[in-house]
Amino acid sequence: MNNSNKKADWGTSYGELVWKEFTKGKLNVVCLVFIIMLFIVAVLSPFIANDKPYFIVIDGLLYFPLFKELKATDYSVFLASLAGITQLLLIRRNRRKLDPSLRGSALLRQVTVIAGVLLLGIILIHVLIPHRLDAEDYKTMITSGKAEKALFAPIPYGYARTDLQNRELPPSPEHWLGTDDVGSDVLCRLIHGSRISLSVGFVAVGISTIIGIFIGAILGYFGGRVDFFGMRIVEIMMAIPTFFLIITIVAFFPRSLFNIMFIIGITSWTGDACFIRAEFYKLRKQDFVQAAKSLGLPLKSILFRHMLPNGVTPVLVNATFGIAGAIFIEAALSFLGFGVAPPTPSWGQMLSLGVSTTGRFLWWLTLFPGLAIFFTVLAYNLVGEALRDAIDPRLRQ
Amino acid sequence: MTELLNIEGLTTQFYTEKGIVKAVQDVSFSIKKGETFALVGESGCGKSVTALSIMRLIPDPPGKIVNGKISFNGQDLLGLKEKEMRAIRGNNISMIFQEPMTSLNPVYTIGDQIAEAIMLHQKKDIEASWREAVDVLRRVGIADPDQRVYEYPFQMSGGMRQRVMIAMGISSRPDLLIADEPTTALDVTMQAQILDLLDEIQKEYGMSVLIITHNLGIVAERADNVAVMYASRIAEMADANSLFKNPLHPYTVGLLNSIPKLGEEKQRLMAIPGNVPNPLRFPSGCRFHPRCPICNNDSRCMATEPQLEEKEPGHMVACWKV
Amino acid sequence: MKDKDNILDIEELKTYFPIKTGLLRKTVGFLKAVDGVTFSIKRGQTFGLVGESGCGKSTVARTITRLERATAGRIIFNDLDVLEADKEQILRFRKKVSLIFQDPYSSLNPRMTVGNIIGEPVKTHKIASGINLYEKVADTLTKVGLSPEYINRYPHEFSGGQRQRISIARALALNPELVICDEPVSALDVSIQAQILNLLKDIQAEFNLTLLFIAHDLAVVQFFCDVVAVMYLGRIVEQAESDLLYKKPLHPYTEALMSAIPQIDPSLRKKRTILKGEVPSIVNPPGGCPFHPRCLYAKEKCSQIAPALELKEDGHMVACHYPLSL
Ligand SMILES: Nc1ncnc2c1ncn2[C@@H]1O[C@H](COP(=O)(O)OP(=O)(O)O)[C@@H](O)[C@H]1O
Ligand SMILES: Nc1ncnc2c1ncn2[C@@H]1O[C@H](COP(=O)(O)OP(=O)(O)O)[C@@H](O)[C@H]1O
Ligand code: SF4
Ligand SMILES: [Mg+2]
Ligand SMILES: [Mg+2]
Repeated sequence: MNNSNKKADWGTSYGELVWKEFTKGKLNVVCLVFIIMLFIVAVLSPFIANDKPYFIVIDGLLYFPLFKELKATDYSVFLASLAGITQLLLIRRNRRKLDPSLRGSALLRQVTVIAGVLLLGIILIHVLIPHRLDAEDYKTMITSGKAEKALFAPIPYGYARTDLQNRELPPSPEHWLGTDDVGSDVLCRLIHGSRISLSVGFVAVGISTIIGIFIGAILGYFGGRVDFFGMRIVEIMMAIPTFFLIITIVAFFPRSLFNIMFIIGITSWTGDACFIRAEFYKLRKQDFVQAAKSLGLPLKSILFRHMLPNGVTPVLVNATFGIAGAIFIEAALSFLGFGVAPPTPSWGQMLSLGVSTTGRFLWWLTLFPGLAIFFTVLAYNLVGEALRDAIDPRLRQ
Repeated sequence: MTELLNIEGLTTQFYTEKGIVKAVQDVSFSIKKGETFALVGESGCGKSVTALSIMRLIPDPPGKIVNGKISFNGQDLLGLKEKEMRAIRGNNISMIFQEPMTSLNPVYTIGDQIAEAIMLHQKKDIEASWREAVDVLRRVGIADPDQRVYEYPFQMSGGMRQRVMIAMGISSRPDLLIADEPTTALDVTMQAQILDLLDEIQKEYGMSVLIITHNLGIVAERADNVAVMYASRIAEMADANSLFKNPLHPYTVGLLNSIPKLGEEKQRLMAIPGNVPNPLRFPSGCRFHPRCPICNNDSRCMATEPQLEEKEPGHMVACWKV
Repeated sequence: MKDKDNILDIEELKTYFPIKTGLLRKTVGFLKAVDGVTFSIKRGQTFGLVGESGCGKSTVARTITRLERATAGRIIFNDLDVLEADKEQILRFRKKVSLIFQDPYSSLNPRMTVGNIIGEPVKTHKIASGINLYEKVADTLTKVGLSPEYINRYPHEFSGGQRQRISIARALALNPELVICDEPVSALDVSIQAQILNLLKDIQAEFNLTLLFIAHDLAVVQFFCDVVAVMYLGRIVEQAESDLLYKKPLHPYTEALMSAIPQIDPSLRKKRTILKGEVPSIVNPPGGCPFHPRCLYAKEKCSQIAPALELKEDGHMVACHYPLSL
């Protein structure tokens, strides 16, 4: 309202309460930190594990092969994480600088602007950045003395680089987590795989949440006949086992990452729809919504300012579980051979290589991707649960 | 009349994340055989916790009876083992709660629930218990008790359920019945019915009743002795007649003035200013002093807690200025 | 019919809720929550509506404010036929008629600050904006006895009584003509209840408001209101000026209701007439006079013909074949 208000008179908002409650548990914080680290690794994976050096000196000339090789997807990921960080910083700033009454609309404006920039940026990146293929083996250049000096990433292997002499090696000082059936370094593929897993999780859940909120809000708000027929359709969707539906659909489409995200997204919105519907149904009769109506507030405000913020929490919690679920589904699909095609690294697909064509059991190919999946899914589930518990006591009040 | 229950210096606290909630502090009173004793006060002042302390039903953790003595029929309740206490609970002391829906089990018929209580406390066989359940339901004024025993709680109205709760409470003919806001969830006409029923049964069985309520009208009409609680302590205690004719504690006076009385012509109510204090941070000295109209920043009120003292024969008040 | 002193005229208002069962949600009957209610409120008056829970008081309030669809009847506010009004007129009507709810915990949006809760309607109705909006909100908060510092707080930081003050502020900020209070003090403690009642009285005098005051406690209504209407099973059974109603209740139900209130002062206690049985189901109300199964004075006629609300003497209306003390 006016900015002369000191922060001291600002009350604690609902979000702050939930945050306080959430951070009370040590394990919750550990899980959150783990997820954040996973994020950092996923975003920076080309810099952590790459067979191209940061720089190399050949015949006295300086080259930057690693940077030259970055693809449009890499740039998109950087841009997206930049956008995410900016938004988080803005939220922090909002909390410190803005009157609580103004935060909601400020947030909405910021999100719109940033999303627009992000979308435009990604399109531009894909148009402007050429697809280059640099198959040069810089390591042999060094050993053969062709190049004078180079600086490699901490894990100097490429996820798509095959090395048939070093197939199926157990962990060793050169390959910390061993190599797979074509001689690629497992640690390198795990690191690059985190990107696949996380993007599957986020994009798929993003799609399903948006669909779920939209459909749930319509059913819950209008009720009556719309709700009756809508719910039957939702129930039919729910009755179909998602995993088999996905396998069936995947069989008809090319094995691309985007297809998988999309398919997981459009098949797993039913839970969200039910949550939102139930919440809206309950909220519609709540006194503060009735009060908003009786005060003559416009429908837009009633739906999005009064109802949605009060009904969205179960969906947010569900989204955390959904991310874990999507990661799991992707791993399972890839394990069964329906997932992304090699050489794109995916944890599930790596897991499936545990039994080699020669019949040997390659434990490092089972254990490490398995652990990665296990801990990631566990962390998301624990965070989801903690979030639910942090939200619940306030809701019950 | 002889004393049935004697409480001395009862202090019950809850250890919560936000700090220690001193729910009941240094509460002493006694209930004689056959009398109706009322505990009255606004919500959160510690009435229910007092009752639960007597029943030893304080959830632990977070709660704990940290001090005091409760003697019932000469027996020290706080010294009993849990098993011995269980034999007293529901048998010698029964309790009925405000919300009859949550205190009845929704998945059993009311007959099941009453008969179980009878079987447990009176060691009767199942048939005799069911027969007794029908009798006691008839006693609390439920029509067609032979049919009604087979009904589930959700099939009954609020007033009906409260009758069932009373039936369960009196089935063992307890010496003391604790009724915690038994009519707060009911309409006035139903309230009158239920209170009349309680009166009747009390006379018939000769039991003592500890009635907990925030409604001063009920207290004035039904109770023999009254304790007014404010912020976890007893502010004033007397027999009902002298308390209402001659209220001494400024809080009691304020409460009485706050109530619109039927048929009285008045432009404004004399409200007590301010809010009920937070049990985590009670004001220093007399807990009522920030709201008190007669305190006038008296240093005694602000610094030292007044103790309950006999200011008139049988009339105890905790106030410096009375 | 239309008296120009009247701010609100309700004529034969009926609000039925369909009872639906089965897979196809077929309507098998109606729950007649409000079944033919007629009353008028004069400008500046405090009109009380009292009755036991479930008798349809809230439904009357919600139907007047168009939160519930009326099945039949007419609602005239000033010169506006509320049930026939178009969108624009309704928006103006909503500005002039405010509603205060019973439950101070559910009637405020937990995700909004006090400033927004009070300010948003003010902005919507273009009463103030920008810095004026802040001033308006702060001013209204002061009027209901809260500090303007609270403007950036969230509802969970307030006690029940303070929340009810915020609700009153929200209603007041639109400069309404009529405020409908649906059990505004029923959920509050005695000492807080008195504060809120006093506040409502002060505000009414200051802003020259008309109040429709709903409660289940006859003592509160009788103290607070000029005229009281007693409801039973969706109908008004008696209506009179409040002291007249107290001194000379005509309907057996009013008498029983009054006598059931526990009184502190023994001299005010009336002879208790305890009603038999319980309030019958509103889905299957008894034929004839809806009160006859519980009435101590019922005769044969009562179970056959429903009595209409009739004017008996100066402003005293009763729906009873055998009114008391007549
Ligand atoms: N289980 C509990 N945990 C923490 N605090 C409690 C618990 N039960 C009661 N209290 C606190 O004890 C105080 C007294 O409560 P209570 O005796 O229930 O009040 P009332 O007089 O309304 O019956 C209140 O401040 C309440 O918050
Ligand atoms: N939206 C609704 N749908 C169906 N029945 C309702 C609805 N609202 C109220 N009722 C019923 O109408 C009757 C009157 O309710 P209400 O007006 O809230 O009573 P009061 O406010 O007097 O306690 C009750 O039996 C209630 O169950
Ligand atoms: S009409 Fe008959 S039944 Fe109804 S209130 Fe009057 S006397 Fe009683
Ligand atoms: Mg209690
Ligand atoms: Mg109501």
